[in-house]
Amino acid sequence: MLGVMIKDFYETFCIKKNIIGMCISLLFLLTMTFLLNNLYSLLLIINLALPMIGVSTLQYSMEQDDISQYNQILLTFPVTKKQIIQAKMLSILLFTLCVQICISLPITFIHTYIFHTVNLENGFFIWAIGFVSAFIMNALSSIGFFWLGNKKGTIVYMILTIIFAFGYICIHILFGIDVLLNLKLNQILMIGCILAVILNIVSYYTCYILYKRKYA
Amino acid sequence: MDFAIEIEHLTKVFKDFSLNHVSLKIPKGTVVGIIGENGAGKSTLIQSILGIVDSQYDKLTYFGKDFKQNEKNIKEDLAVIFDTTHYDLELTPRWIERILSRTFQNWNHELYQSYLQKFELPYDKKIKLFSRGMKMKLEFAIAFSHDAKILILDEATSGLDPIIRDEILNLIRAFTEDENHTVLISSHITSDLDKIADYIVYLYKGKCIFMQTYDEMNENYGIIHGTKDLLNTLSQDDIVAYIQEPYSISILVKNRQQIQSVFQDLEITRPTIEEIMLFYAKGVKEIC
Repeated sequence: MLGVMIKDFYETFCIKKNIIGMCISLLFLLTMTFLLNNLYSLLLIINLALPMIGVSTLQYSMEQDDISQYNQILLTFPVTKKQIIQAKMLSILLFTLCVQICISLPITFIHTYIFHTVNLENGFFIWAIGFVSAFIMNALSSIGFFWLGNKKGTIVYMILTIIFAFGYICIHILFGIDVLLNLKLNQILMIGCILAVILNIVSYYTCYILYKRKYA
Repeated sequence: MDFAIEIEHLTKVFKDFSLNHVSLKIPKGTVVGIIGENGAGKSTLIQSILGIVDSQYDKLTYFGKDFKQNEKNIKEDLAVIFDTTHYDLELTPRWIERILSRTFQNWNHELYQSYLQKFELPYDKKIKLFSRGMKMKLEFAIAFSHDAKILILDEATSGLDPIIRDEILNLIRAFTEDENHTVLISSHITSDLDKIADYIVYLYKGKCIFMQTYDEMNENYGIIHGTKDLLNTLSQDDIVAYIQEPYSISILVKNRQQIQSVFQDLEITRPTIEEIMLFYAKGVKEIC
């Protein structure tokens, strides 16, 4: 299982084109953070843009696996199909944790202490909701990737991004972004957590079935 | 006799092709070659016994252990080499080792290093910069570095130049020298099998036509070039198939020595594996 994860992380962080892609995304987010220092931009980055990054390890590794048909040799190794899916899911989870702690949290602090866009309590809630959103996005995107493969899976990923962005814009236009902070954030977070756990369990089993069917 | 792999009635059905009730017993310490034309089912058979694709069977055991129940343990003892490398070409031998040392319990760093040195393979060069021969040697270095008991090669020598192929065949020969290691090799370069195979399995349209020792085949089969009259003189039981040539008939017989003792002046040549395969695939079986 560790072998699968090491390979996935190598492909995410050690292949030039993927590193460049990551750096560009990061630079774009940081630029946005410093140029648009308002609540709207904070919510957009923490609750929409960064949660979408978590699944990158799966996307990059799937892209490379498709090129080299790596699964052909992987299935001859002493790892079960279940372990392969577990390793892939764990890689996404670890990467999501890193993104949330190393990028999302500092951006929240920048908005709290430097731009004073939100107070610390609301900042933490926004960050926590971003955390939960990331897990929901991971669960949905993983199914898309395992179901449709890398290329079509990326389209699903883009569609999901557009849907989330559209929802976000609708809320902004119809109610105003401030209304989000007036909601019962505890309840939203609680419901979000339960939804994320359920979706991730469903996603794991669905991905396993899809992977098994692909190599049946 | 101890068997490394036992297969009974293995069946795999696709929309346009099926592998039909293949049964094989691969003796331990031998080199078994699988031959057959393209689409005969060689790769499907290998993928089925490796669990890459699901298949139905009455029995599939490795060293007496049931495959389904012991898949993970069994795969510790397997090394598989395909016709092309399936490792990400962006990886280096160093990174491949990092991955595989966490995958195989018996990974041996010193052995891997010694094989890399022996094959003159750089440790930190991306494999996309390797030649085809280097990539194949790397596959062998990997296969030999986790103490595999069974080496399975699926068209691994195809596309290699004769010198590299010869080196690879020497490696396979050395691997089976201690008689604890078994090799299952599918190839349509039958001349390779002439050099190393102890047994030959012939697949034709998804069916196993025969599994015989190479020595048996070498001793028993024979090719006779003659006329229709000669064909009619021979016993039907002795004839495997015949091919109508422009001015004669070539007949593959399976009792070369017996026929030779009866027809002492008749020239009967020993066929190569390729010729036997051709007769089975293209020859006429029924004599009118």
